[in-house]
Amino acid sequence: MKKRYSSIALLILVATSSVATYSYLPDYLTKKMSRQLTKIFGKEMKYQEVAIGDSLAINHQIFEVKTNDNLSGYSMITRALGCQTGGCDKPNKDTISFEEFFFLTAFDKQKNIKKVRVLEYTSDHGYQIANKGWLKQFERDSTFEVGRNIDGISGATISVKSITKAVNEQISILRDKH
Amino acid sequence: MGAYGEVHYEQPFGNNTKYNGDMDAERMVLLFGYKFDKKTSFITEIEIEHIKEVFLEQAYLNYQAKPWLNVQAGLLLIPMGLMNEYHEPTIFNGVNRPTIANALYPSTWREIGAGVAGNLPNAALRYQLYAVNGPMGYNDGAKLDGSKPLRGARQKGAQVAMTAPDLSGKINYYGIKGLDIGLAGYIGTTESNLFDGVSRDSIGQMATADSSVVGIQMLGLDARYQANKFQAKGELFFSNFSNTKEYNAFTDKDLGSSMFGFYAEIGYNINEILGIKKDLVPFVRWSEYNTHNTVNSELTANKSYDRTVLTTGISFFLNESFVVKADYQNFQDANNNQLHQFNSGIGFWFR
Repeated sequence: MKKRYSSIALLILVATSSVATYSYLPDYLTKKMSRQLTKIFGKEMKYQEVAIGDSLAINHQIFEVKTNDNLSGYSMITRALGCQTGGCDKPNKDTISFEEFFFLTAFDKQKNIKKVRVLEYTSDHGYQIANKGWLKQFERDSTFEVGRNIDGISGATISVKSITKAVNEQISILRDKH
Repeated sequence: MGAYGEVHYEQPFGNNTKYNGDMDAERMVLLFGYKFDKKTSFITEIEIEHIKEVFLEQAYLNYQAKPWLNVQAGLLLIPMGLMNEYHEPTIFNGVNRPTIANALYPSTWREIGAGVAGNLPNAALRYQLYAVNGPMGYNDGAKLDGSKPLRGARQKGAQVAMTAPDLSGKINYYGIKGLDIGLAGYIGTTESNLFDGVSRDSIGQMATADSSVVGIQMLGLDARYQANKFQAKGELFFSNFSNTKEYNAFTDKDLGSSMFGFYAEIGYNINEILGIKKDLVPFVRWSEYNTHNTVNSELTANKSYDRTVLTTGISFFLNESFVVKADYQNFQDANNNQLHQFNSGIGFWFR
């Protein structure tokens, strides 16, 4: 009987710890974002987080950026899934074993993209997407598609697809729901 | 869990000699990654080569101490060149890995060790630094030779012998759009089983053991570039071996004092030209390498180790994870010996 309780306790522990793994975005990303936003909007800018629903908050954070109390744009931090631990291919539904990366998209007040920057990328594969020249491809008003208006990167297929999809998502979230 | 694999058909042609073709399920690799928690993961690749040989290709524990700092320990892939760490068949052209990945560095080169690795996206830099066991230079017989110096010396993590750790490192810069450049270094000495049980007082035994190791200093430069439909890549290596006079005298081998080589490859995806959806990439690769770039005073450079390879071929991607390949290779050495070979194969990669 005792054994059973301890195994149940262990199960709960494992379950809660794995849920905790996919809670909200880590705090230190905001600091990294702040540095980037200063470069994009100038030193006078201030940002404030906008509350969004829980289902969105798992992967996104939205901020309003203001300069002298006037709205100058928006910023979003988003979690995207890169390669699976130990390798890289099509993301599937089982997110637990995937490497994740975080990126920032700055929008002007018309909600058009000003800049995309990768804030954190830890995986061994696909890191080339952090290249600023490549990210420049997102600085226009469009729906993005790899091979059409976004170049592929050899050896980074999955991360390229993943960030492209995530940028499209950001645009629709910001424009539709906010 | 994931996997990749390759099946090859190779047909060499000589001038007057007849050769049998060779069909082979070259390799099948199973990948497992397990995340213990947000910061700790275990990564392993199990490889079945030529159906009958089973190897661990890599198996290491990764601890993410900081977003930019991973501590890794276990059986690690040596960061050298393009092909050693990233060799899924869908990311390189040609049925076989470039010849240089065999001759100038022993792909898949993996050793037991520990170190740090990380990525700084804002600076577009990636770094790796490991302390690992050295290749086995002598184990009841010489393991190094002049033709493919380090090929036979990989310990592959199997009952590894080590006297002092070797250092292996690499820096990648990807700040230019479409371009990823890597600079790798490897410094160390080979291992020898003659040091095992040697009395420190026995000058004769120590001298013999000293003759069974060589020093290695290797520098590797690699680059890959992609812009729209165009792709290019190249690797260049220079290696220095020390103590080769003593090693060769002791083992009766012909290890050179330095080796040098490079290849350059270009390809172009012609899917739009043909009006097809699937990627079709013809490519051409020129390789030049000499494992007797310099030799010690006791040795005459073997001209047959001064080699060139011209590879032309095509890669046809049925989808992202399945490729059909064919190529034609022309091998030549400085003695003007020629060999032609036709290769075809399939490669896949899935998860």
